[in-house]
Amino acid sequence: MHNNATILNELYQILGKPVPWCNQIPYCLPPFYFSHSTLQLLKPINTTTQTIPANYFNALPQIVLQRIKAAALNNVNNKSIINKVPENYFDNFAKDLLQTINLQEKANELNTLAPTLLAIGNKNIYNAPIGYFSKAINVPKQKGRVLGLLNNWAKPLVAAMLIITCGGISYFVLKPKVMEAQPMVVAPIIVPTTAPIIPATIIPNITTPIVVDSAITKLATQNIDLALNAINEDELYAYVDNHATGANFAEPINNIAAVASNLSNNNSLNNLSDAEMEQYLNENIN
Amino acid sequence: MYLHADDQTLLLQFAQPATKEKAFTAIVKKYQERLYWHIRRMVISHNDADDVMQNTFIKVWKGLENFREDSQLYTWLYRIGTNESLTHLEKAKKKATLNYDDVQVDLSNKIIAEDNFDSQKLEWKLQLAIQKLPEKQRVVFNLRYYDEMPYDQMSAVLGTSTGALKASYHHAAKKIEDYILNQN
Repeated sequence: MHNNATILNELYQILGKPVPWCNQIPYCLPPFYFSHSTLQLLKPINTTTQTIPANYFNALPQIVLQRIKAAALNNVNNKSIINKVPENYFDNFAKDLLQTINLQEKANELNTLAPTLLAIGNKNIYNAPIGYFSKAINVPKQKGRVLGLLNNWAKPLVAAMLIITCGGISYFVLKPKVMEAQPMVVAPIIVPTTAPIIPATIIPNITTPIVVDSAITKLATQNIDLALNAINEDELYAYVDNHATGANFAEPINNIAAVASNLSNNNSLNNLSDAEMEQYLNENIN
Repeated sequence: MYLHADDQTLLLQFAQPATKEKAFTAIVKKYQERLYWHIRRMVISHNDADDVMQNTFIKVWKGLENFREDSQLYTWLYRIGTNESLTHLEKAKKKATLNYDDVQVDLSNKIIAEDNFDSQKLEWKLQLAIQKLPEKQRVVFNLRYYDEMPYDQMSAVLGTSTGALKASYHHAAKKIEDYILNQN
């Protein structure tokens, strides 16, 4: 009240006239406003929390359990990722280790030996053309096939040509020898081929000296049949007629008995010494 | 698939006519790069290296059936590649009637003719220094320094004792270092 009188006196001095005390609030409040104010204040808050889905709390334990399980699983996965070893790691482990040791050894060696070279490093400075390593690889197939063909038909052909050549050479090489050793023209040709099968009892009957040239013998022993086949019979008989030797060439001598008897009849080997015979046997009987 | 097969499998496949070419292709693909750079460092120019590579793999094709598995395929290929490289250099020497010094000069000229040659760079100086070495030391140095090959494998490739190889490598490294330092 004291405050009211003071306020009124102040107003009287300001305004110059007395004013009635009328400080009543003209606004109205809803009935029981202040008695329910707390509930009114809380009401909006309660309303916002009511956005929880239906059966939220019923499902909540399940949700929490699921999250715990997921977290546990994730943890396990993380651990397995951490402990995972690259594929084939252990297969190459020893190899890689040896490689590392080798590199270290090499580096140490170079460091003591020539540190400048260690500092330079061994990086490659040359360039290969682009795509050089990815170009198609030519398998050397063609060459193999050519060799295969050679194996199939060219080798016999080459062999036949060699034989013919040998025959020709032997013919011309023999020609002067035949002239020198006229009675014995057959001996160097026929005997060497047949010598390996001459019975020991027949050989001593050969008494006439035989001109045995080792080169001729070699030629003769190689392919005498083929060499003779290269010369036709007419040529052979013509040759014999022109170089009459006294030996009987009327028929080809094909067996050892005929050779032995032919040589024996002519007494052509009567003067063969033991040493010459031994030499002959050594050269012709293997 | 073939690229990842081990040598044993590749050799077995090579022995079968049906898979022979595939196995050969796989072997070439597996080893071609390593072998190429080894050969290239020996003969320097790409064209020469290509010739030697082809000769090497033709010999591999011819000899692989008789390859004895008591040595590694890798060392066997290196042996053929090395021999082919040396044969190529020898032929070049005879063809041009060059003496040993001329061959060295020829190889050095080939290095200088390389596209990205830079005389100031130590890597190129090193290459020039290597060409000053005798052939055997050059092979040993390249195999050890660039291919990082252990001495026992080098021994299998070159048919020389590990002691001799170590000595060769030491001599070579010293000579090269001297050359580089004196050049500077």
